[in-house]
Amino acid sequence: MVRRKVSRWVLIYLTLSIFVTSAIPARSLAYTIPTIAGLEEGAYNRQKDMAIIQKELESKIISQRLKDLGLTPQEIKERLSRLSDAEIHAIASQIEALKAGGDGTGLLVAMLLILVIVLLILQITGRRIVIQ
Amino acid sequence: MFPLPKRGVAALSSLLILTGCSLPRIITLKDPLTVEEHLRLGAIYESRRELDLALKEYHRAFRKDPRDPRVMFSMGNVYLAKDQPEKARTYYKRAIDLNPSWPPPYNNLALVLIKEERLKEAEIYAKKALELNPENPAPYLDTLGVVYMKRGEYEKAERYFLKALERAGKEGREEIERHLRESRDAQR
Repeated sequence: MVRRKVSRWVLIYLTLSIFVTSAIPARSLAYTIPTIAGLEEGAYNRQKDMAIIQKELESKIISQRLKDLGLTPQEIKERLSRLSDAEIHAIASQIEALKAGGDGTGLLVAMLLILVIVLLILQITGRRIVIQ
Repeated sequence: MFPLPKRGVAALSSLLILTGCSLPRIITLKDPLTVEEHLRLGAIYESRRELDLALKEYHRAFRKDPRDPRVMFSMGNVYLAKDQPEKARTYYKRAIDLNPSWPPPYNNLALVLIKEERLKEAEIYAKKALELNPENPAPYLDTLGVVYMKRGEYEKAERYFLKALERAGKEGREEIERHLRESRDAQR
């Protein structure tokens, strides 16, 4: 008896929800001109082309960063050849993190060293620093 | 205070410098990509729905050329995709200011206005886009169709969708057909 009552309510609920959802018109928006189409109509539509271009540009970004960090072209080539497309994408998207001592420690060490050198120079030239 | 022997200090500092006390270097980071390449990479990320990455690329392009309307248009598209119409509107307007004869930002600005139910303004911008590029009118005719459908002018909307279909290439065809169906359903 209870079971039949529950099924009836479920049936009413389902009917109502179908009616309500179908009565509301679908959210309609004209099609956005995608950036790619806006930039160069008809170009780079195929997924394959996009993957190739993406890899090429991301490799360029990584190569430059490695070059900035002092690696030789040979070393850069070797490192890049070991990376998969997904790894290249992951590194390129986190390129800001790819720094030598990028956490600010380098700057602190440099400032301390400059301070030490200045003190040494003053010491050598016979000057003294007095803090009163 | 215990005085440091001058020669000793000089020798020690020279030794430190010469024997492996690696000094921190100042590295100048160069951006290897051109504005076009940043835009292209950003557009690829955008088409894969990696919107934050796309935005980063557009910001890099902006640093290289803050007066490029394509950068503004691309940023507008990312914000539209992120459902932030106010920001999208701002960027489309900047793109229009930078190049008033380029139709895509007019069309996409019309879309933002449709979203905000500002249909009269949307119609003006879509018409302007159509006027600027009569050779490739399909997206603009479709946008106008949507404006009329939203205003309840179904017959007019249908005419525009049919015209858009006549002129549409492969891209966007499905979308126009969907709008046409929606308009016909709403009319019934």
